[in-house]
Amino acid sequence: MKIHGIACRLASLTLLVCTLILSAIVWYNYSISRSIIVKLTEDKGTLLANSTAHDISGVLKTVQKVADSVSFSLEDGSLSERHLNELGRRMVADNPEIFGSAIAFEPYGFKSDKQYFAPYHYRSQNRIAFTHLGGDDYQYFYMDWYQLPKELEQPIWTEPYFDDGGGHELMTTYSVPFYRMKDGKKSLAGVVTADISMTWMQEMLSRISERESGYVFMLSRYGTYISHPDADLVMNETIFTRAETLDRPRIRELGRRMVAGESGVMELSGVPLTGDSFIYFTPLPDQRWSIGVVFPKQSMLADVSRLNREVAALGGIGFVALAMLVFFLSSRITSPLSKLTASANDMASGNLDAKLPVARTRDEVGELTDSFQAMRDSIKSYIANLTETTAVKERIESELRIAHDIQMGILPKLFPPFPNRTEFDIFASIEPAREVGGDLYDFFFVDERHFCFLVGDVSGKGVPAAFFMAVTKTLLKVVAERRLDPGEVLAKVNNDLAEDNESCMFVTLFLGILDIDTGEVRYANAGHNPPLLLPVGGGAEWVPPHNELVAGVMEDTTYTTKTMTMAPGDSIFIYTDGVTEAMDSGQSLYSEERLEEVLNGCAGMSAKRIIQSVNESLKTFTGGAEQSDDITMLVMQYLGNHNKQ
Amino acid sequence: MGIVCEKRAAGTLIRVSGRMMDEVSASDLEKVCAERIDDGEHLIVVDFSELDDISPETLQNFVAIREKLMVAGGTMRFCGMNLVVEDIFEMTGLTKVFIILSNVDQAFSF
Repeated sequence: MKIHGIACRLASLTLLVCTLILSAIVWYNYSISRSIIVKLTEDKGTLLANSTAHDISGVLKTVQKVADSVSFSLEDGSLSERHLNELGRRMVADNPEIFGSAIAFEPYGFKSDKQYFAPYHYRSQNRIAFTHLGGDDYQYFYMDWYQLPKELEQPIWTEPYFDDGGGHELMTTYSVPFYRMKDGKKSLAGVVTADISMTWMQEMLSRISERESGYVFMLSRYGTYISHPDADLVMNETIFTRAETLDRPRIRELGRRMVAGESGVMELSGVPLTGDSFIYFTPLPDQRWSIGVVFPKQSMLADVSRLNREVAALGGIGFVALAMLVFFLSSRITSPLSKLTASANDMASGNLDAKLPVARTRDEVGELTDSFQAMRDSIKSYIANLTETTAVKERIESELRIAHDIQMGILPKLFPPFPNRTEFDIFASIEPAREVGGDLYDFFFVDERHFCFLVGDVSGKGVPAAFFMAVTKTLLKVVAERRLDPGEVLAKVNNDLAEDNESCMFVTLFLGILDIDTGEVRYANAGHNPPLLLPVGGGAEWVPPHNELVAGVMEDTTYTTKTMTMAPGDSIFIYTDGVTEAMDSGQSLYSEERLEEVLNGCAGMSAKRIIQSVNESLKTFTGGAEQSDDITMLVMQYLGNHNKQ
Repeated sequence: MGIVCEKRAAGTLIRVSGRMMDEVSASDLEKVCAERIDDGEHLIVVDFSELDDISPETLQNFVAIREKLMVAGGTMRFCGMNLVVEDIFEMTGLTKVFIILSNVDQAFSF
C-alpha cells in the first residue's frame, strides 16, 4: 500500500480520529469513575472515622459512668476499708474496658495516721491484682490524675501517661473527685479513677481498621500520637514533630486541624506506610482527642485503574480490528484505482492499447474505468483522424511547396539577368504571403532594342490567384513578343483573360517597354498602383495613373499607351499593393507616403540596393507582424547606351 | 466588416461598414447578394458610406456579383464612397464598369 495513497490516508485519518475518541472515552471513564470512587471512599472514610469515634466514645462514656457512680457511693463516709476494696475490685472485674481503678484519699483523709491511702485494683496476667498506691517515691497527690480533678473540682481525662505507680502500663485515666461532709462542710475526700489501657485501645482500633487497606490513628489534645500502627511513634512523637521530621507542611496543617477539633478530609501525598492517601479525621470532644483514618489512594483507585486498563485494552482490540477493517475496505476500493492509474500511465506514455482493468463494480471507480475506456476510444479515433488529416495536409503542403518552386521558377530569378547589357540595371523581388501567390513580374527583350518589363497583381491569394498569375504571365510573354504597343498588349491579354472568366478574377498590370538606345519608355497601366520614377538628383515622382480597367473583367477594353523618357541613372520603381498595404501589429498601413520617403533617399542607388532599402524599411515597420499580402517590387534603372554614344 | 441587408420596393440596399479587407467578409457579401439574386432581385444598391477601405478580393467579389446580376437581367449601383474607396475604384478603372452615385436616394432613382 502506498504511503500517500488514498487507502493509507483514509485509514490513517479514520484511525487517528478513533484514537482520539477512544482516548477521550478512557480519560472520561477514568475521571468519572475516579471521582465516584473518591466520593464513595470519602463517605466510607468519614463514616469509619465517625463510627470509630462513636465506639470509643461509647466505651469511654461507660467508663465515665462507672467512675461517676462509684464516686457517688464514696461520699458515704461510713464505708470500711473492706468495702472500699470490694468496690474497687468490682469496678475492674465488672468492666472489661477498665484496666485499673484507684480510690485515692486525701492525705490522712481515710485514716488520720495514714498519709497515703489509695487501694488500686488492676489487671495483671488475667487476674485482678491489688496494691496500695502511695509512698515516698510515689506521692500520688502530685500526679495529674489526682491533682487536676482536685483543683478543677470536676472529673477529667488525663493525657495518656506511663504509670509506674501500680499498673506499669501506658494508660489514660478518668479521675472523678468525691466529697464528704466534714464539720458541716462539703470537702474533697479523694479521687476515684478508672484507667484505660492504651494497649487495649490500640487493639480496639486495630480491630476496626484491620478490614480496611488503611489504618486508624489517634492524637491527644496536643497532637501526641496515642495510637498508631507504628508503635515507636506512640507517646514519643507529636504529629508536629513528625511533620518536621518528614518535612511535610501538609501534615502540620492536618495536625493543626485535628488538634483544633475539626472534622474533614485531606489528600496527602507520600504518607509513610501508605503513600498517597486520603485522611479523614474527626474529634473525640470529651477527651479532646482526634481520630484519623488513612486510606491509601493506590488501593482505593486500584479498581478504577483496573477498569481503565480493561477499557483501554478493549479499545485497543477494537482499534486493531477497526484498523484491519479500514485497511481491507480501502484497499478493496483503491486497488482498482491503482490498476487504473497504472493503465493510465501506460496510456500517457503512448501505449493506447494498454489493457484497462475490468470494471466489476458500478461505483465511481467503475464509472471512471468506463470513462477511461470511452476516452481511450475517442483518443484513438481522434488520432486516426488526425493522422489521416495530417497526411492529407502534408500532401497538400508538399504539393504547395512544389507549386511554389514551380511558380518561382517561371519568374526570372537570376540577377543580373543580362550581364552583357550595360544599358540598364534591373532587379526584382517577390515574397508571397502564402506558399503560392498572385503577384507576378517579368522582363525580357522583345527585340534587340526593346526591353519589356512588367509587374502584375492578381486579385485574391493562394492557389486560384497562382493559376491566374501563371496564365497571365504566359499570355503576356507571348503577346508582348509580337512587338505590339504596351496598350495593345494589355488589350489583347485582357481579352484572352476575360473570355470565359467564370471566377471573375482580374489582374492589375503595369507594362513598360524601354528603348535602350534612347531611354524612351512606352507604358500602359491596367488598374495597377502608379509606379514611382526616381530621377537622378531629384525626388521620387509618381507616374500618373491612367485609371484604366483592370485586366480580365471586361472584354474589348482599350488601354492607352503613354511615353516617358528616362535619363541615364533614372530608375523606375514598380510594386504591388502588398508594399503600401503592409501592416504593423497595430493594423496601420505602410502607406504611399512612407514608400515615397524611403525612395527619396534612394536616388543614385543601384536597382538591387533600392529594393533592399525598401525591404529593410518594410521589415522595420511591420516588426515581424504576419504578412497579409504578396509583396513584389521591381526596379529598372536606365544607364544609357554607351555603345551608341 | 459589417453587412446589413435592407429590402426596399425598388431593390435591395446593402450597407457595408468597417474595412472590407479579409476573404471571409468578401465571401459573406457574395453569399448575401447571391441569395438576393436567386430570389429574383434586379437592383442591388451597395452603400459604402460607412466603409473605410476595400481589398482587391472584395473588388473581385463585386465583379462576380455584377456578372451574376447581369446574367439575371439586373443592375448593381454603388453610392456613398469615401475618397479612399473612390480612389481604388478609379485606379482600377472599375468606375467604368460600375454605376457609382453620390447617395442612396440617387442610386435608387437613377
